[in-house]
Amino acid sequence: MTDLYQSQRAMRNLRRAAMQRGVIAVMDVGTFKVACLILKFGVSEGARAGSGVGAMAGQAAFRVIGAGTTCSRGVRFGEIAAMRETERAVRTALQNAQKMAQTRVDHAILTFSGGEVRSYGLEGIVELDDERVSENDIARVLDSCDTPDLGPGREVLHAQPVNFLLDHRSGLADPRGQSGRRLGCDMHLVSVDADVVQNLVHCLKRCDVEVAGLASTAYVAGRAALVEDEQELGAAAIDMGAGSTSLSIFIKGHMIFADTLRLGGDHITSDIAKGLTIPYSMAERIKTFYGGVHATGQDDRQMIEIGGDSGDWDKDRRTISRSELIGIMRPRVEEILEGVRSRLDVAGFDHLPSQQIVLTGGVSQIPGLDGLAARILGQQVRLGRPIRVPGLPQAATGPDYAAIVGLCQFAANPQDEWWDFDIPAQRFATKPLKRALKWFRDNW
Amino acid sequence: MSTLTRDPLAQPPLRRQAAPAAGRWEWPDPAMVPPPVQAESAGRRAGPRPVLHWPNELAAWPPSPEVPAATPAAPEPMLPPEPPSISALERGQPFVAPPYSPPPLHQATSEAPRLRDPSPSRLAYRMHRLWLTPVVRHFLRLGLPALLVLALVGGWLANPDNRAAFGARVDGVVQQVQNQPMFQVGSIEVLAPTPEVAQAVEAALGLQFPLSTFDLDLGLLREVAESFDAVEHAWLQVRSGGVLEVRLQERAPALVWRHADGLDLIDATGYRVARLSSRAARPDLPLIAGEGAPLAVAEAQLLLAAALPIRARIRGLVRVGMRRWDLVLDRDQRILLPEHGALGALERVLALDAAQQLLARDVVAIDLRNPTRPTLQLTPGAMAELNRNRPTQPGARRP
Ligand SMILES: Nc1ncnc2c1ncn2[C@@H]1O[C@H](COP(=O)(O)OP(=O)(O)O)[C@@H](O)[C@H]1O
Ligand SMILES: [Mg+2]
Repeated sequence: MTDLYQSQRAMRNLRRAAMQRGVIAVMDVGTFKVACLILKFGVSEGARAGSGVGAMAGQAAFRVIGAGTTCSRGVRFGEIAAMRETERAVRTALQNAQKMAQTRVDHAILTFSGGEVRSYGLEGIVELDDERVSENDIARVLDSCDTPDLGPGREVLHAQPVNFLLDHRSGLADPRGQSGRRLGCDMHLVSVDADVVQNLVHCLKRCDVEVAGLASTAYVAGRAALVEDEQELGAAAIDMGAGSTSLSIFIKGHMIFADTLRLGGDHITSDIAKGLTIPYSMAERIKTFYGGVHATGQDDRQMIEIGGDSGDWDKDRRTISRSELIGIMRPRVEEILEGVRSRLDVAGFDHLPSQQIVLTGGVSQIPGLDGLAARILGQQVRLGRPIRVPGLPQAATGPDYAAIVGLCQFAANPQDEWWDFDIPAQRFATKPLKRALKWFRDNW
Repeated sequence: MSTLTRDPLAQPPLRRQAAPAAGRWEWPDPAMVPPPVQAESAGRRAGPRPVLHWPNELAAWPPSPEVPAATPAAPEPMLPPEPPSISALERGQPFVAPPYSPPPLHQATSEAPRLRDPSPSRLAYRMHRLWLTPVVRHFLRLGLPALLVLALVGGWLANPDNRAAFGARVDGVVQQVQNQPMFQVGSIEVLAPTPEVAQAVEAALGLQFPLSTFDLDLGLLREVAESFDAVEHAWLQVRSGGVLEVRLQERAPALVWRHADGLDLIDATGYRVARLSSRAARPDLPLIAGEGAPLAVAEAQLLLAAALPIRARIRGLVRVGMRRWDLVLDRDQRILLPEHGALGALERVLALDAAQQLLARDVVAIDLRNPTRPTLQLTPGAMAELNRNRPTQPGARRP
């Protein structure tokens, strides 16, 4: 655990250093695409007064100066399956973005959807030494949360304090400076398979880029796709990618649950390919062109060419109707949505005051998906697009870029995590020399 | 459920978009992006269809061996038709996909060039990153070419032959430029009041024409011209037409100075102007004499101006002991003036002369050196006469 604490702190310091230098890359290694944006910090202090642009949640502090997207290779379910292939894809995306930005980047913040994200709610409680809550007390209470057994080979990806309690008062966002006797906290901890992370880090290292931060797609997609009041009142963001569907529940501005479903757009594609015996590329093509989930009478008459390359005249001239395509796609989409439903039920989403559901990700572009989702998930469903960030190319404003846009926000104003607070002093009491060294390093 | 079209005269499909160039990889594949929804696209496709020419193969059969048969055009990739627009559907026209003409058999992907891997190689990626590093980039852009040029030039100049050839070449170019007609000076024109001075200056400058303006050092020439005593100022200028104009201002002679070596003309400041062969050459100028006389020219001129009433009688002024003046008149008369207050003393003498014709008498010298005791020196005859007239006995006696 301390290992991870140290490595996360190291990454945080890298991130700080990169932002000081002004340029950092954010990368989304998805199953369908690998996207990379290069952010430049310190270009403006925010929106001009009177320009009609609000604070925009702080993302005016940076500007996207480079963007590169390439089709993902060697990734399955958001995890690396063929390292060399993935490395090539990452290299392509990085090079394109660097070419556009005309700068080189050495640090990247990474988001990924694989690794079987699991979330835990932890709580800790400490007696206060003074009568007022100090920074040190916060660190102590975060440290007092007893970590559950994450299982073999799993590591903490996020550990975010979501709520503080002071005596019998709950729902405090920032208890520092308040007086009381007992300080408690709720922490949301997200664990992930360590090897998946290691593979990704290694892959980026092979591209001469240091990983300066990690985030789960579920979390960052939620930050980009949910508007502020949805984050405040309670909502679920569902990022429907190609290899996995990530969902996160937000309330009071914090993520309180995250999960992924190893089902996604690729499964729809493979259903089509298998059902119609056509190549994957053709299946992908007719899915994006003609896909849907509600068949109408008109669709029976719309014929789709699904030619082939076999040389057999009959086979190469096959056509299907659109309703047949919908007939293949719909069960799989329903399966995905049912899976989401069950995960939300497990998380107790029903008990939230507001049950807004926001669908993002590439698969959410299937026409009519919101209607089907409303039937399965509940009435309050909308399709979400990521918020706008300055400098983002038009091509990267669709819902399939929700995760990477959220990552930009994450880079610009990160959420407090457990490792952002110093380990309380008494843990080092046995090592005064180390403590003195640390003090020296922090202050000089 | 598949509809088969077996019309052999079926027309080939219209391509919706240009097929990607062979070997190029584009992602996302432009053909994969859904087409924009057109608001007013009624029906399939308006506009004339291109006229298709089917080659009459039999006419050209058998092909002559010299002219190879035209290779058949690469087959167009199979692209499905555009989906029907909403407005077309609403009008109830059934949508029938236009038929495809099959691609030629056995000409499928085997001949199509393999798609190139779009990812850069590791080396290319590293090189690109290196290129984007500011230090490296600036070095490659500015430093390296500069170094290269320096090295080349240095290496070439290291050979003494090259250096000599380079120097000769540079000299040649310089010569060529300097010898241009616009830089040529062909003659000299010295403008001076007296032709003798002009000739002397021209001779002293000693210029050989034609020459280039680059070879003329006007400052030096001016110093040469001004080294003449007679020349007060010289202006030099190369006029258009290649004429070097020297304009001289001469010193105006004010006095003649007689000294041990002869006669000199001096100007009002005492500066020597020229040598004078004889006093008779300039009878208009007053004469001064004695060692150090030119140093007191100002006083001499004041004295001469004051002595205007006896001008006709003045022979000259003599500087005595580099200290004081003697005014010498004809009949060997002398007025010895004091060192200080010479002008006042002279005026006293003149006043005496005006009142009592002092100078017309038998006086040799009027000594005013001691202002409290002016002294007259009489001629010996006058002295004797005076002694004769002087009574030998004291007491008044009328002759
Ligand atoms: N217009 C569309 N209609 C239906 N599916 C789409 C559309 N656009 C993209 N997709 C699907 O979305 C998936 C890609 O979503 P994305 O969020 O980019 O995935 P990932 O994050 O895993 O890279 C692919 O499976 C793709 O087929
Ligand atoms: Mg994604």
